[in-house]
Amino acid sequence: MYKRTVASIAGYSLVALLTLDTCARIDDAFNEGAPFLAPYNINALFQPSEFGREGKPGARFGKWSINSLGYRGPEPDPSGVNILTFGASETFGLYEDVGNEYPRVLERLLNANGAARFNVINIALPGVRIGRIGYLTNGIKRTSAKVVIIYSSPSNYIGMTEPLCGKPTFRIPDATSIVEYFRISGKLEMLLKKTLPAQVLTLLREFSIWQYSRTHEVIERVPDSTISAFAADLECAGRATQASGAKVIFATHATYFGSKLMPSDSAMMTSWRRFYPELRESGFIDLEERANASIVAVASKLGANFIDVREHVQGGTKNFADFVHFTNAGAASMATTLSPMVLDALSR
Amino acid sequence: MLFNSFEFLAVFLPIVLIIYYLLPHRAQNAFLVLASITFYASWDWRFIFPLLFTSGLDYWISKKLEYGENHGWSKTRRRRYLTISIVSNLTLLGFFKYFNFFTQSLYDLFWQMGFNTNIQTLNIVLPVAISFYTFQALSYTIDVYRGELHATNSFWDFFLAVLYFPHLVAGPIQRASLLLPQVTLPRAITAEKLQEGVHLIIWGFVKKIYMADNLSPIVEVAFSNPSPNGGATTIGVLAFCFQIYCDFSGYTDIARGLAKIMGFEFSLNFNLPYISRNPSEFWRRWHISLSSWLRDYLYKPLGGNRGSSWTTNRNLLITMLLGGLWHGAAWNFVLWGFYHGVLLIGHRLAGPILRLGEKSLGRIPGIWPFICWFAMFFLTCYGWLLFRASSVDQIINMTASLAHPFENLDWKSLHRVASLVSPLVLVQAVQWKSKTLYFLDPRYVSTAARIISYSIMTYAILFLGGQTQSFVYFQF
Repeated sequence: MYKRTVASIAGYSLVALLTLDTCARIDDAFNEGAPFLAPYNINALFQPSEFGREGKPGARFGKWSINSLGYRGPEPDPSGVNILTFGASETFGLYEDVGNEYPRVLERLLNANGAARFNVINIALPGVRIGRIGYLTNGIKRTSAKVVIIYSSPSNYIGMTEPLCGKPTFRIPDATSIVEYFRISGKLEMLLKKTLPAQVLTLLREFSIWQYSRTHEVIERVPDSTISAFAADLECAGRATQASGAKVIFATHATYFGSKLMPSDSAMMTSWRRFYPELRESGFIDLEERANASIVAVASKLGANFIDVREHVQGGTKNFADFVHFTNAGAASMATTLSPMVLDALSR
Repeated sequence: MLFNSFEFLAVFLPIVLIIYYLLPHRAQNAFLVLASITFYASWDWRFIFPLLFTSGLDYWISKKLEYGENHGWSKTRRRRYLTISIVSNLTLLGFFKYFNFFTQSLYDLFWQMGFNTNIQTLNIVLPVAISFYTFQALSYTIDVYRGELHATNSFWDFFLAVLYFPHLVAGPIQRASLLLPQVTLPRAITAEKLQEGVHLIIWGFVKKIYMADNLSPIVEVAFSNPSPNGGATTIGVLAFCFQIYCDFSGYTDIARGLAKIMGFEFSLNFNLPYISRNPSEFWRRWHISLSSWLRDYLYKPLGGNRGSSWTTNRNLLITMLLGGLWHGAAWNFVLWGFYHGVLLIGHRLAGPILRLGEKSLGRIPGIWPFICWFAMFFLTCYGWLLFRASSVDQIINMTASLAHPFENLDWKSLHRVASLVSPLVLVQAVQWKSKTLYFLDPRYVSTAARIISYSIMTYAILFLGGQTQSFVYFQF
């Protein structure tokens, strides 16, 4: 009797789960043109390549879509002058409304006076490190880009001590967890994030960090070798761009926190640290300072243009949806900041 | 605290249910009073005081009325106490809800007549639910006065009957004769009640979150258009027709479901109103707790249909006018009430013509009922235009635009309305055909089919809902 009850509960639970998952698949297929059976998450936008990972032409997930070249955004005008934006998720665009990530805004600004046609091609990839030189130079070559804006993400170098400089680094992970096969699991996760109060989410993150710190070493600041690796990759990217015939513009990295961590920022810092639990909170601001100093130094060394984004895109909720990713307003500020320098670089 | 808020679903309700199920009966009542006060105070703690005053006054008056009944008081003396209750309750309601309305209306009237007066309006905060609990408390004293109910000896039992959180904010208006015995006596919570309660809650949320909240932006676009064309008006009115039904009946279902899982039975408030074929039938199916309250405490005391045709019609009109005014302090609600009064009167007067029509067309199966249904649905929808409009000018403009109802019809919006409403239509067809509103009754539907249905509904609630809106009837 007991076994029958348990079997019934298990069976009906499975029916419920399969029904929910089928609903999710029908919903995605109807509203987003997603495949019914194949996995459908942000990894659907990417495919492995000789350069490690690149965008999958024609792919869609949610609000993101990849064009025929394998980059986020619309098809570039064949008659236009191409400018590339290279970086990680800050450049790829996570929170902005479609068309409001800074490369799109920059393109509209550049084309505002109608003198010439410019394409700002967003070759950024979430999580990418600047040392992905093969991917970068391939992008410059394919698009015959005249200018490349490099907006690097220093925190992607946490835990690294050796430069990449051209080595492919990323492989799309296989769905190893059974949970990932269920479309409904991703939706439930997003729903929980939207629904749970911020205080509860912070507590959960703090718990996750605490769990990590019980079994792993936690450092106060990143070692000099990490900064050196970052600087080396930055210089590598700059030289590769210049060698390809394009002008390079380096941009310092801006964050929600500005230059100083305030007590009221602790929840936001926790949400950042959750991705890098091996580094203490104070280490993030220190990393940003040292990495930005490297950006300035590398730009000077290469005789390249650089723009101090931190001075123009202030920290806080107006410009940042989270610790480093822009809001629509932040992306607009970033584009407005870059626009004159891009035009100047093109004119020289 | 809205029913569809995180605070209610993830914090308040689980805590209340867990503690409630563990407590014995008398402690359950005390706990529910505390929980309901917490629920109500989450809007504004000051709202408790008018509610306490109403409950305290009516409890005391009812005790007096019963004492008077048992000790040979004259009818006049007992009536005096009843009058105190009615006047106090309606004065409180009138002050909070209608003071500024009548003041402003008076000012407008004087201005129209050429007098420039300086009438002061007050910054009055309208206590949530005052329309509902006032009527509830009034029904108690009136029933005790009539000898239809014994006055309770426990103020806290009466207070709980008024304050009980599932029905407090937007009904259904529960008669004390129905609810008080359930408060005073131990309640049985059976597996069947739990199943049906959960069913009502889920279906209620589907109507509210998936249908009503998604229809809301379509309605908003239509009714905020200063120059609507016929097509926009048609879609807006149709969308509002279903928005208000899904919103209000959704809330009621949630309230009834919550009550059921705690062992209470609330009366039915909606019984497929849009299948009605005449105004009388509509008011037997729509907001039943209000319409029956108006019938028993206003229409019948005025004389009901016991007098001449003229007095019957007068009583109908007064009842519906006040019913409209109950909904809100604005002339469009009065106009809506007047409109339905006219429909009811018209239906009475048109009796011979309708019988003739039925006789001549009745030979073709189904045609006469269809014509009646279509006409009533159309008339109901037009009534909702009056209800939703924000000014007389808007009513005039939108009515005029209906001369060309399909002008520039936005097929995409119409398709959207149809797709949102189609599950409701399907379910109601099943309910009508099977003559039960419990369309997933476990006696007739397999467990697997029920689980699949509830899973689909849960998905719609969690992932297909519109932007969260407050319940429409909270404003009343």
